[in-house]
Amino acid sequence: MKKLKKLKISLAILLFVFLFIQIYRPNIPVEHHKGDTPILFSNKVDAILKKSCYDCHSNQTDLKWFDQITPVNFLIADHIKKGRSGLNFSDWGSISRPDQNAKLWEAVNQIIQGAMPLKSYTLLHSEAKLSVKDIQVLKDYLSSIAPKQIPDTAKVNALNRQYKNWTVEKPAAEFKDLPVDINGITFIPDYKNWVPISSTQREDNGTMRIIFGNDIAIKAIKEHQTNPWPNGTILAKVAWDQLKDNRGNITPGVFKQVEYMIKDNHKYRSTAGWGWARFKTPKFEPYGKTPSFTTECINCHRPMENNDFVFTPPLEH
Amino acid sequence: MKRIQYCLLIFGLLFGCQQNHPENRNREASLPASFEFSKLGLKTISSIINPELGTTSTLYGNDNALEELKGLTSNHMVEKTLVLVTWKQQDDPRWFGAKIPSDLKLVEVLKTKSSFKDYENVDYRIYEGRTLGNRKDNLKNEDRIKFITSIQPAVMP
Repeated sequence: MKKLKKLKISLAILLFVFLFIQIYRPNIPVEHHKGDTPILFSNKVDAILKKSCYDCHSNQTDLKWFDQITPVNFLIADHIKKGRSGLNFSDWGSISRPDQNAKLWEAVNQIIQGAMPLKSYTLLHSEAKLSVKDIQVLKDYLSSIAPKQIPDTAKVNALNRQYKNWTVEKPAAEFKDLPVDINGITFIPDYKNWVPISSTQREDNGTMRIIFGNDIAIKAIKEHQTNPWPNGTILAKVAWDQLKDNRGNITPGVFKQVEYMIKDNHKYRSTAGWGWARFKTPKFEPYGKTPSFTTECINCHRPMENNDFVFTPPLEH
Repeated sequence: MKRIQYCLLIFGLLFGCQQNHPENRNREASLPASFEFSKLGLKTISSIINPELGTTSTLYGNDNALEELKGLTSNHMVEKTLVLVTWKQQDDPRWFGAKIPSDLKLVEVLKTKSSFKDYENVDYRIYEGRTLGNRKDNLKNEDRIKFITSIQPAVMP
């Protein structure tokens, strides 16, 4: 009898605490639209995104009753805050067209790889799961907006100007002060003397790339030690515009950027074990206004978490 | 006591060992070690995609060959090597919208001690297949020589 009484008191205390903490609630700003919202992509695509993404990636969050219980709501609020900061369809109009395309392709690729919607979210919101048919609708839409490559004199002229400067200017290796990005990563001019580990044609953004590996990366490939990559590995991804010639071949147009992934799981512990950097244009302008720009890199590479955050399957030469 | 030990063992097996992930490698696109590509010590010059054939190629060369392709050298009497490696393309399973190398198709090797424009004196060899075992020597393939030597180096500042 005494035991039962103790249990009852404990439960009552727990219930009281539970009810009391309901006073504390996170602030989740939500916009409610009266009537129809403008179509961003197509009726079908918008419907899928609204069903599966909008709760965390727009201001039109539809909170279920169980999302509003403290302490769960703090977790939800954090998810929504992070989700909106990475991609917010309510701010779509304020993003530049190339960034819109990049974000949409990235979002669909996150879905295809199963990284989105988050498993922790679909556990209680099973309606957000995407069907094979939903994914096909998104793929078809993306294919329809992918840039079509055609011979383009303006692109040829831009390349000719850049090429002329490149062949007459002194090489970057002779630069006195190499550019350094906001996280202290210095541009590495030697990338072009490394061995390529793959190449990519990106139909989504009209670029083509060669990915180079430094000596440590090449040794790791040779020794079958690429997951995880050893400390000291540096991968350099060079991107050019695609240029279609009259014979139908696609060759590198203007040089766009070099991106680096530098492996050091102590130094870069907080950024998935890699240092991330991007230097744009032949002037190697460092990308990223704040040190946290690397969040963008990691978020995009997150579906490759079990692959040491590397998309490229390296080939051995 | 035994039961606790069993429980600990099962717990250890489930959570104790770090999960091993499979090696990351593009096997079908890799060059056979027997080809000894790395011993050639070549630089990367450019990349070229043939959408009609669904192939992607990378052009490599020694410094002298790169200089000639850039139109910077008039020194004809040095050894120049160009290597064009061609792969079949495949859709990248990790990124919808991207294409990456798949099966290794062929390697073409061009060597000269004068200029690549002197087609008659260019040694052209072709190696085919996954093992690059099928070697065809001294083919007078002027079209291929002209095509390969017309590839403009990609801007790599």
